[in-house]
Formats: sequence, structure tokens, C-alpha cells
Amino acid sequence: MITYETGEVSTADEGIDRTSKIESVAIQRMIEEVRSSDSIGTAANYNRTHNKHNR
Amino acid sequence: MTRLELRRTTTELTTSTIARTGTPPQPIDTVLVKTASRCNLNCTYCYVYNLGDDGWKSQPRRMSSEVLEAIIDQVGELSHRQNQAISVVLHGGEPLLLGFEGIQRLVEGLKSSLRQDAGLHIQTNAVLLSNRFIDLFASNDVGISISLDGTAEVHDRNRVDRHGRGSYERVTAAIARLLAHPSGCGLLTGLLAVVDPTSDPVEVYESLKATGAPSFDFLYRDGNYAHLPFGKARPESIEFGSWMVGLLEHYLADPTPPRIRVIDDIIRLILGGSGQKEGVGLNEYGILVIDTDGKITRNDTLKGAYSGGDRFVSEPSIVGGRLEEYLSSAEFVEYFDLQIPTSPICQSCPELGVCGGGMPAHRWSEEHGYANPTVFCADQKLVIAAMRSRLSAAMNGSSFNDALDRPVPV
Repeated sequence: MITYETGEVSTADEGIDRTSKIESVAIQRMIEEVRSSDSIGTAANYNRTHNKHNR
Repeated sequence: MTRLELRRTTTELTTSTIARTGTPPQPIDTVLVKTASRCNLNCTYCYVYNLGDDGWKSQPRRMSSEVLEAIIDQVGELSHRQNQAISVVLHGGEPLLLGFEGIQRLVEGLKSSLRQDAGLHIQTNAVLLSNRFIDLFASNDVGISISLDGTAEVHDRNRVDRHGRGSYERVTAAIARLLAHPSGCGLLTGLLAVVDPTSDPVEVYESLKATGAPSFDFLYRDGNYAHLPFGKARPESIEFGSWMVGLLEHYLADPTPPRIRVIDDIIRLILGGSGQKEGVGLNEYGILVIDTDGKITRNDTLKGAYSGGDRFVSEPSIVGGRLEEYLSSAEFVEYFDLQIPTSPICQSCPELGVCGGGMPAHRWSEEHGYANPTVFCADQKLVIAAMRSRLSAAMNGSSFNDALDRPVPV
């Protein structure tokens, strides 16, 4: 599991985590997001306003 | 049946039942409110002012009270009538040019009228972002996204004022002012940067990260087959894709990365998830724009296709109109369907699910209308291939399904 504000990686509460050997924090957190059904609540303010407009 | 075929069938069914049921074909995700039609900057690449559309000249400079009240009333009502959470984005031009009283009335009015889970947001160049505005946004939980292109040199090449002076120092001072505010860290949603393919992506990344912003997003320069984007020599050239590959390599190696929305969306889509914003993937988004005079328009990025490309023929208005009825009209359904990539090249492309055919404005040609791949097709293929390669390498032989703890499809 990643603490997103700090980027700290821990697998202590996740049981067997097959992503734990992936060094890229950016990739690992996206795997976690997809695995947890695309949760977007993963970083302070990230996309919190649901804005879909690309400008 | 492919997803596109399914969508077409669904669209036909939906279109045929709209008149009977009055049900909107798709909920609205985002309402863009053009509070001011002018800007205090004159960015060289701006799709509103400098790509051939001159619709802004006939707009009032600022939204009237009548338009503001109609938005508060009708958008608020819409948010309660649909299941989808809605986001209202104050946009422009430069939205803060509406002035403090107008912004205050709009923000406080929307805060009262919108459903509780709605998001309020502003996209600003930040030059006018005073402490008074920051206090107002803090009181009403308005997320602030700021346009910043990277280093001072990169930013000031294009983001200049009417006197040709760069805006970097004023913008970064505003970011620092915002982050120094007691609620500032919770308000800054991120930075929005336009790619200059001649710049160094690592320098741009590090300069944006140094501001302390939690996330960034990157946009390609607008253009299409009739008018190639600045910095792109030919449709098949890969200046923007090469730049993005440099960016993603640095991002993936960063032990404390912020979020980069467009790269995260590509990763998520490759892994079988879905995108969160228009431009990649095949999600269809309900984006509604209300212009400064109160007219409802199509996605404003369509200005970049041809002059008036964002206009509906019937010129509906939020004032005196019935927003919900308009969302069921054939004209509006047709606008929604514009998102579906119709080029035969896209439909047979193995990367369509990730690329999504790009922004409709970038597909435009005088010969085929919107029935083209994005003009950034070669760039997108390069970025997606690079991302697939990095993902495979990162997983060290494990399949995506293993990494995601998903059963292998039979």
C-alpha cells in the first residue's frame, strides 16, 4: 500500500502483494487503483472536482 | 458486438425514445461557465483567441446578473435531477475578470443550489488571484487549477500579456500566495501545462514539481489536419509523442511523484481500467459550456476545428430556456456522439481503447470533417507503446492480470 502524500511504500497490511517488487511508485499506485475498482480518492485534491474538460 | 457498435445501437434507441421520455441521453459531468469572454493574457497558442475563431468579439465582456442567476438556478436543479455528480468550472477567457462581486455571487449561489457532492472549480492563469479571492474560494471549497507551462523560459515564450511580457513571475507568486494561505494546500488541485515540444520534459517536470502542486496535466498544442499544431511538422511526425515519452520515463522513475493525469489515465486504460477525463479512452463525457452571453454551446475546444465549430445551430440559452429539455434534443445528442471516433483507421486500431481517437477538435479536416484519427495519432501510438513496454518491464514477466489479482480471461 502506498501513502500517496509521501510516496512511502508498505505492504504490511496487504497480505501477499504481487506489485510490491515494482519499483515505480507511479505504476504501483495505478495498479492499486485499478485493483480497487478505479478509486480516484488517492491523492490530496486529485480530480476531486470531477472535471472532465480537457482545458 | 464491439463497444462502438453497441454504442451506435444504443444511440439509435436513445434518440428514438428521447422525444417520448424526455430523458437526457447522458448525464452532464462538467459545466463550463465562461464568466468573462476576454483574457488579461494573450497566449500565442490559445484556442479561444488565436486559432481563427473570433466568436469572443461579439460576446459581452462579463456575464450579466441575469445569466449568473439563470446558471445558479438551472444548473443547481440539474445536479439534483441526475445521478451523476456534476462539476462546475469557472472558465474563460480569464474567469476572474468577472470581478469579485460577480464571482462571489456565482460561487455562493452555486454552493447553495448544487447537490452536496458537486464540485466547484476554477481554471485560471492566476495573475489576478488575490488573497481576497483565495479567502472566497476557501470559504466555498472551490478547487483552483492554475495554468503554468514549466520553467520561466518555457512559460514566457507563449504565456504573455498584451504588452508581450511573460507572466511566469506573476503566476508563480500567486501559487506561492495560495500555498501560504491556511487552506491553500487543500484548494490547489493542480497545474495545467501546454507542451512545447522543443523544451526539455525533465526540466518542465521538475519545475512544476518544485511549486508544490499535487498534480499536473499536460495538453498538446491545438491543431488539426487543416492547421497543424505548432511544433508538429507532419501528421505522421512524433514531436509531441517523443516529448511525452521523455516525461513519462522521468515520472515513472520518480520515487515521490506527483500525479500526472494524462499519463495516469493511459496506465489505467492499459491495465483495463477507465480514463477520467476527455482526450484518451472511450468514455463519453457530458460536457456543457455556457458562454458569457448565456448561450449554451458545444465543447469550446471545437473552436479550434473551424470558426463557430462550438456553436449549436439553434443557439439555445440558459436564460429563459429549459436546460433539461435542451439536453434531450436531437442537436444535443448529435453533439454527444461527436466523441465517438468514426474513422475506419480508428475503428480497426488495436489501441483504440486506450487512445480513444483523441479530442474531436484534433480530428478535423476539411475533407472528412471529424472522421479522421487525431492529428496526434503517431504521437499517441508512440506514447502508448512506450507505456506498454515500461509496464511489462516493471512487472518483470508477470501479466497484468497477475498484478491486478484478476482471473485470467478464458
